[in-house]
Amino acid sequence: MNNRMRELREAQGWSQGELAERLEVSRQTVNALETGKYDPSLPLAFRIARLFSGSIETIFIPED
Amino acid sequence: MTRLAGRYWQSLSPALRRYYRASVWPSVAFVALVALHEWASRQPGLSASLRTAVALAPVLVMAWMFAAYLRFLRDCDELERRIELDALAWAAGIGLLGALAASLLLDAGVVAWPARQVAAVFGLLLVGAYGLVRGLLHRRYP
Repeated sequence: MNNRMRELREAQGWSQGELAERLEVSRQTVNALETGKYDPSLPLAFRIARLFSGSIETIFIPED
Repeated sequence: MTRLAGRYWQSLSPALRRYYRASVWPSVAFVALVALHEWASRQPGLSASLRTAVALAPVLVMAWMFAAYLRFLRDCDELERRIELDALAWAAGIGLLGALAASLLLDAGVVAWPARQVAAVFGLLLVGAYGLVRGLLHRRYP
């Protein structure tokens, strides 16, 4: 699954570490999400969407 | 060197830092009790009950460490938990296959390994497989 997390994070001027703190996850998780190596659980996807004031569908884009 | 260690420490998640801190005393106690056990097993004058208590004391300390690990599993984030559970599943599978192979070979009389050696190798296989798979998964998710 593709996502716009890196773009949204950079627009806020946050580092991966800062985003990780805001989401209460590790920096490793943020990096894995941004590079598309890991798809978040539904609760984490909702936390990400809420943090960037968007909906899950506008941040996470299915590949098919 | 200290700076490198500091950076490594800061790169760890809060849950993993808490786990490492919680593991310090059980690790020290484990090494001390294993040394005591080694000494006690060479003392013919010790009673059987004392020998049993000293032999089983490291197991209790390992249970203390295991409780800290379970707390870490509960506190860590979802990717960390996935890595840990994958590593545990691989270690359990490899350990089970190793134990099955060893018991069948012993049963068939093909090998005659002492029980002490088999138990030690089984433990090493479990810990080694867990460490190897965990390391590989951490490299996959840098």
